[in-house]
Amino acid sequence: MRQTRQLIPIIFIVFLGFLAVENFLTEFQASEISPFSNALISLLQNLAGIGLFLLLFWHIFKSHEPDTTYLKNPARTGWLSFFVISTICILTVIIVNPRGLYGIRIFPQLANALKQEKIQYFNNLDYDPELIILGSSRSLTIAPAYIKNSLGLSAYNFGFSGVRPSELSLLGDLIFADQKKELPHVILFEISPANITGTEGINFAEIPIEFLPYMSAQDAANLILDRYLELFNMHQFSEAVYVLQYIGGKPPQTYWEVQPDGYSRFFPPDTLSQALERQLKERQNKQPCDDFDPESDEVLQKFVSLSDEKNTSIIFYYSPVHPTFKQEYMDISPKYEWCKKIFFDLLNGIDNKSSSIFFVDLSDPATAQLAIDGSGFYDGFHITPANAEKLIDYLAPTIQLANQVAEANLCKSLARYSCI
Amino acid sequence: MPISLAIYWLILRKNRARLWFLLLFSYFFYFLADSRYILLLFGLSLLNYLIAGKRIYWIGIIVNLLSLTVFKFWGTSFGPLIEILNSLNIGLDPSSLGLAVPLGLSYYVFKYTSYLVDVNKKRYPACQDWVAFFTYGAFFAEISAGPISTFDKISQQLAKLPKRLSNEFALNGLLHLSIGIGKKVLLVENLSRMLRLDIYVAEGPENGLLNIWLLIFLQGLFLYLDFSSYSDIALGLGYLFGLNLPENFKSPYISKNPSQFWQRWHITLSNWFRVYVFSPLSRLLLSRLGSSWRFASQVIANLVTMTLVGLWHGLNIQFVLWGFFHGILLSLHVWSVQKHFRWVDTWIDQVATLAAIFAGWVFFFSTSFINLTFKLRSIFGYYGWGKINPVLADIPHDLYVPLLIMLPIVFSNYAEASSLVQLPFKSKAMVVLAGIVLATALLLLGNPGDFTYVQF
Repeated sequence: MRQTRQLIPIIFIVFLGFLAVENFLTEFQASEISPFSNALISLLQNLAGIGLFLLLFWHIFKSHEPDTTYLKNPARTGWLSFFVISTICILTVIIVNPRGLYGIRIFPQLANALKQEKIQYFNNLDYDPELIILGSSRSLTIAPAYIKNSLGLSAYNFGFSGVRPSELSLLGDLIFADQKKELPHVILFEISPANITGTEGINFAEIPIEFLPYMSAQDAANLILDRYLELFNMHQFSEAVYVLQYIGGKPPQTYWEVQPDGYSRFFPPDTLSQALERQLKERQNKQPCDDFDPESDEVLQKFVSLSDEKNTSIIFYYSPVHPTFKQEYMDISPKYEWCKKIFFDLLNGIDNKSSSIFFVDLSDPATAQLAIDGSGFYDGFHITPANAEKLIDYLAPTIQLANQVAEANLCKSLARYSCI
Repeated sequence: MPISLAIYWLILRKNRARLWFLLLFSYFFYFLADSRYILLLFGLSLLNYLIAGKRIYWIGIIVNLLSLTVFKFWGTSFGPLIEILNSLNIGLDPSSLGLAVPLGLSYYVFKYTSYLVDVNKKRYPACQDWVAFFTYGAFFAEISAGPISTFDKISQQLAKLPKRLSNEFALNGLLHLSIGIGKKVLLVENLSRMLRLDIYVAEGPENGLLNIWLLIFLQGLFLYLDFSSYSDIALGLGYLFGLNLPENFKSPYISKNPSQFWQRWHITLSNWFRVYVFSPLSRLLLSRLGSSWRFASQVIANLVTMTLVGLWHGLNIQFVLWGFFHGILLSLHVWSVQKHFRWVDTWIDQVATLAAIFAGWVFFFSTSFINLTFKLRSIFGYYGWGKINPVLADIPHDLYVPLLIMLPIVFSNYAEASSLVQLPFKSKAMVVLAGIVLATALLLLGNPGDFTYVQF
């Protein structure tokens, strides 16, 4: 009778275990960190759920009579197992450091390490860049060397992969606070509705620690607290497990490589058509402009006032989007239509108000005659260096005009004789 | 929390120091959670402490209940009244007054009110130690969503806090936290994802019996697991600080009748209403109406008490109807027992009770009166069977395991941590598993949704 009573829950648990593993194998795609991480988290979650079930139904599996395995001090053993598991996870996160939040660098890291590298390169530049590129990963392939050759302007690419509005704001402080450097004449600012979002739910942990001197006391405290909390985060742990395979200097399958002028080379995991298919699949349940909040345009306003105060021209541009991605993801969304209109009105309004602010819509690749095959796009919105050069060619007259306006404004404010 | 535990057990050695620590830590916790109303908590604590046992104790009761009415009911639930006033061009916006519901108000007001009544009835003497009294009201593990402990039980423990964390309390803490956080993170969060699929999307005939019953079934599971997980966590934290708090749940969905349900669901609240409302009211009615009116007295007392239980959740017609509905269920049960029906306390009674309790959640979760009307029609098959919402075909695969696990947990006698604690012997594998479940659940915690009962 007792055996029969135990048999049903055992079959049930085996079935649950099968479901958990089957779900993991279905979702698991080791070529990219995100699917791996999600699959591992759901596997651990399901296994922990089975553990919870086992715990609550322990009486079915164990007799109520003491035997040799029963403990004198079960509390110590239980809490010890809790501390061992927690310590293993925390140490893995610290040592592997998948997002570059902590000091150790044995494994290749994700976006955060790139941000730190870029800040360090910028602080160690042996020239004062006349043009600075800001934006997300969409701007990373614009080569400062190409700008120098074609336009004669020294440049630095300060694009951040996965940039947050708060980081853009802090970058503004960093660029314009450094008194030792000549201030830039032009900022080429890749902007999208993703930069117009509220601060709710912001994860301060991902903001580089180099920004601490520019942060308010409250934000600095949040950064430290969020970094501490990330130690206990299953996402960090699952990403660390993924990154473990790259021990010994082996590069990951997908990564950006930064050069001292901020230009970044991208090593994509798949071809353009595969990437488009993947991105569209990943966004099946998402809408573009999910976080867009027209009231949260602090970044724009900050750069507009910086432009005015520091005599720097700013060229905002909306980065090219691959036609397939645009048609099959963005254009079919009513939300995108709504946010696009507000976004364009906002940018055009700023452009019309000031002679040193420019806005160029390059969302249609045809505008700058960009290639739309694999030679021009890595995926739906990341352009190759070849397309980035064409983009600069198209923007060249605007950049030169912006540079002239900035110089003229600077002359006015300094009343230099040499400006005549 | 680990730091505060280390200070509490390793640095502070004297009972007084620990008591002060509990008080300051509780106020610090309250300040972090809801700094606006810390003075309200302090003021009510002071008033109740000073007034207990005096002839004017009733002023304390009135102030307690008035503050509950003003802050809680005005801030959240006078929606219909505001609409009426606005339609009469008498602009009145409660949000402009800045009146939001203070965290835990209905819990600590009930604690203090029971204290005033008990002291007046000489069930125990008035408290002479203000630190212990203030700690009782503000204890961080209880303040957000109960349990509503009574002063005599807690004060005895506060007066003699254990010198060291006993093995028993350390283990009970581990098991309660493991199961409480495990339920919240591994089951409730996934159930919440399932509910976000919008099974019942429109107020219209497309929602038949199938969708509405599935919805209320899931909502019923959600409410129970969410609230009981909070209670488990509160009890676990209590144990780790050397305090034994009262249980709040006892597998309520296996109740054989409505009366048993209220002995198993939100136990401390139903005890409060039984002691301070139902019993005095039924005694009063009996004395006034005579013993021949015993049944009628009981029915009236049931209806009044349960309507007040509904009102405790918010002055909102849905909650009032929910409470009244439970009053009817309890009265029907009393009637059935009196008539000696054969099906009382059998499986028929159990199934009918369960169906009625789940049906009752329709009142609880309705967003408006119109929404309630549609749902009630659906529940009784007014729109036929309806079609299963196609969103159910898109249930993410990782939800299968949590959804399957929660059924035997909820509908068994073993859904609470207390059932595990009561097992006479603990094996190594079991406690190791508890540690692993707790560690994993904490790592998966992320940004969990708020506990539903915190809003009450």
